[in-house]
Amino acid sequence: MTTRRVRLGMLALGLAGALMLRSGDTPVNAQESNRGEDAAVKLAGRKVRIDKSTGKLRDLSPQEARELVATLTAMTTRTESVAATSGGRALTQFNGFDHVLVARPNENGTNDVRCVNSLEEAVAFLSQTPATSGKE
Amino acid sequence: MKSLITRLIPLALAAAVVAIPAPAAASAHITIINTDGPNEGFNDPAPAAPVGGNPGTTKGQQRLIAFQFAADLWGASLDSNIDIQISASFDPLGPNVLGAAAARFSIRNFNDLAAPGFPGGKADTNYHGALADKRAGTDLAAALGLGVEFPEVIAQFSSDFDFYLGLDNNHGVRNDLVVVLLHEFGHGLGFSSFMSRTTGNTPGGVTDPFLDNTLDGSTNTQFPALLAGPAADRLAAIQKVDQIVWTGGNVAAAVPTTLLFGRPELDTPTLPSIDGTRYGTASFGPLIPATGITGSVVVASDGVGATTDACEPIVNDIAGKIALVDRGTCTFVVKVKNAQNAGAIAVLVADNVADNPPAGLGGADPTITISSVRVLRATGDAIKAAVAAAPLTLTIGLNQARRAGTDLADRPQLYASTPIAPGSTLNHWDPIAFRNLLMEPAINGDLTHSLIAPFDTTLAEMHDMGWFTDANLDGVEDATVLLGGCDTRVPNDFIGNGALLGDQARVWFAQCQATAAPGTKAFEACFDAIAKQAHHDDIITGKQSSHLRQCAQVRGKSGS
Repeated sequence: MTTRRVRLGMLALGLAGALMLRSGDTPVNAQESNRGEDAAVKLAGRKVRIDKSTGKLRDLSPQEARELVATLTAMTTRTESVAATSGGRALTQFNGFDHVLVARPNENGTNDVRCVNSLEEAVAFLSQTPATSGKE
Repeated sequence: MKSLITRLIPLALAAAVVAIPAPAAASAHITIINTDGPNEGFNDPAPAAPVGGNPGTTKGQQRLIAFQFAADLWGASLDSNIDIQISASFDPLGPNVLGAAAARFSIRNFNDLAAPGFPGGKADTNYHGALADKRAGTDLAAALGLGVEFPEVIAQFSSDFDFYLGLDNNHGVRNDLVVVLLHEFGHGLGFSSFMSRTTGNTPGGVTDPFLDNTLDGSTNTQFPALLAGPAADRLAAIQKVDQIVWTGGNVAAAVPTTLLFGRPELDTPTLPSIDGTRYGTASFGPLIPATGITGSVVVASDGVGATTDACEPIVNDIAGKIALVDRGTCTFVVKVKNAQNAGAIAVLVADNVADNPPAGLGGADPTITISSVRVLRATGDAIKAAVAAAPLTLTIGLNQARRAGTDLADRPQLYASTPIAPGSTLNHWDPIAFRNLLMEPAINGDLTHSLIAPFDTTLAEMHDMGWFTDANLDGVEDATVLLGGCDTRVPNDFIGNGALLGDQARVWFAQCQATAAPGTKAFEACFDAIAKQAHHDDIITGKQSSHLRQCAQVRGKSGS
């Protein structure tokens, strides 16, 4: 259990870091208080959060990244239970999902949407960043 | 989300959705089981202005109406005498998660529970619950003691995400909830294999209808045959880009009208090692023209750090050339804009990892006026080596001899990738497909609400997996088209647009029913006009047109 918590914590930090890199700005340690420095503006009919200092879409805060990790973990943790009876009949119940749709916002208000199954896939998509190579 | 299931679909609310077409024939009834608690999700009382034909006046109502609308589109397309129940909720999932749906259960070897006259399933084959119920003519979960409210499909969506909740697909830059639901319900109803993309294993080690239609074209091996071997072989197979194809006849019939010629490929006759390799397209800048873009290739240099990443202004002469830049360090739009500013006519972005196939280029920048594509790292390496030795001219082309989304034998490609992306590999169409298809890994903004050719292949895929047409719900596949309870006496053949006549007739019937009640002159005039025009356009024959129109009239007069 401890190992799992540590892993999730590391993934959350990694996700926050990867998403910070996406903006193209110099990566800095994200602070949860960053939210107060953002401006919520209406872009193409929807509210998006803009970093005042850069004018770009703001990336996830560590707290938001932790929530994303928790959500994806909960949704994609898929369990199977099989009830087998005579004649080879078997009913397999599934809890959880084998994929989740996630969205990556663009600066024109659109979102790119993709099916993912794991935190690693989500990070790769949301950040468009291979783990070892920086931004796009 | 609350655990207590509350089946609350206000009848008055459902009745108010006049835009939802009732099915043209007996079909599948899909019930949304609202599992949200008070004041959340479907029950969110926040006021909302009616939008795009969605008459709901609260956020919750609009969500439920959109859900039922998508369910009804599926329900009008499939036939089953067993209600399909989708257990659904809206929950705070954060701004980056849209949601998901999936089969609640699979079942195999259930024929002893099938109702008389119903075909059941193939032996040792895992069926999605809804499809198994249809083929058994029995609510199998209930028969096995799980209760009549045990759902066939589960769904969970984000109350944080700003979906477009209209029913008219006029979503603008937002994401259309109905399209997203059509995609997700498609997975829950059958468009997915039960093979784990992590382990390569299947429940019980047996096949499913999806795998039955899947072929490794490189070895001409159907996937069920691979189940006899090691899991590693199956995991290796689904990484064979451009080689994993669908073999079902219904989709094959839909391909000629649905998938268009013009496969994105590099045309490099002087560099055979990469000639014909595919590229990924960009979400910004102009599309590649049909004639392609031809030019000499230059590796762009910005002179700073990793000099080929184009993250700073370009310092070498790329004016009038195709610029090759490397992925990494900054966004795609920054790279392309820098190349554009230096006069490049197009940009190749070489990947910096060995992923295959090349993904697209994400981002948005309306000031970008040149085309750009992503190529494999290996392709970039080959080009760099070539241009170091001698000038290289290539074409970023669209191969007009090959469809976007089929293999060399014109079979539709499923998504194979290296490395495996467990959330998308195998269980989607290859994203190279164009037109864009509902069941690709990405939800593209140009998707319609249609499930049939020439707009989409999804319903054809369902037919291939065993969702046979059975408008009178007798368990026997219809030999002729039944329309509104009337036998048209014309065979349910493929028609000129690649759809089955029965599927297309239902769509036309529903279109007219949305504007006028069957039995009225307005309805008959509507159907007459559509059927005559379809004959004029060579979509259906004169005989088919005549019989369909007669049946529509008979149904109207009888009021059935």
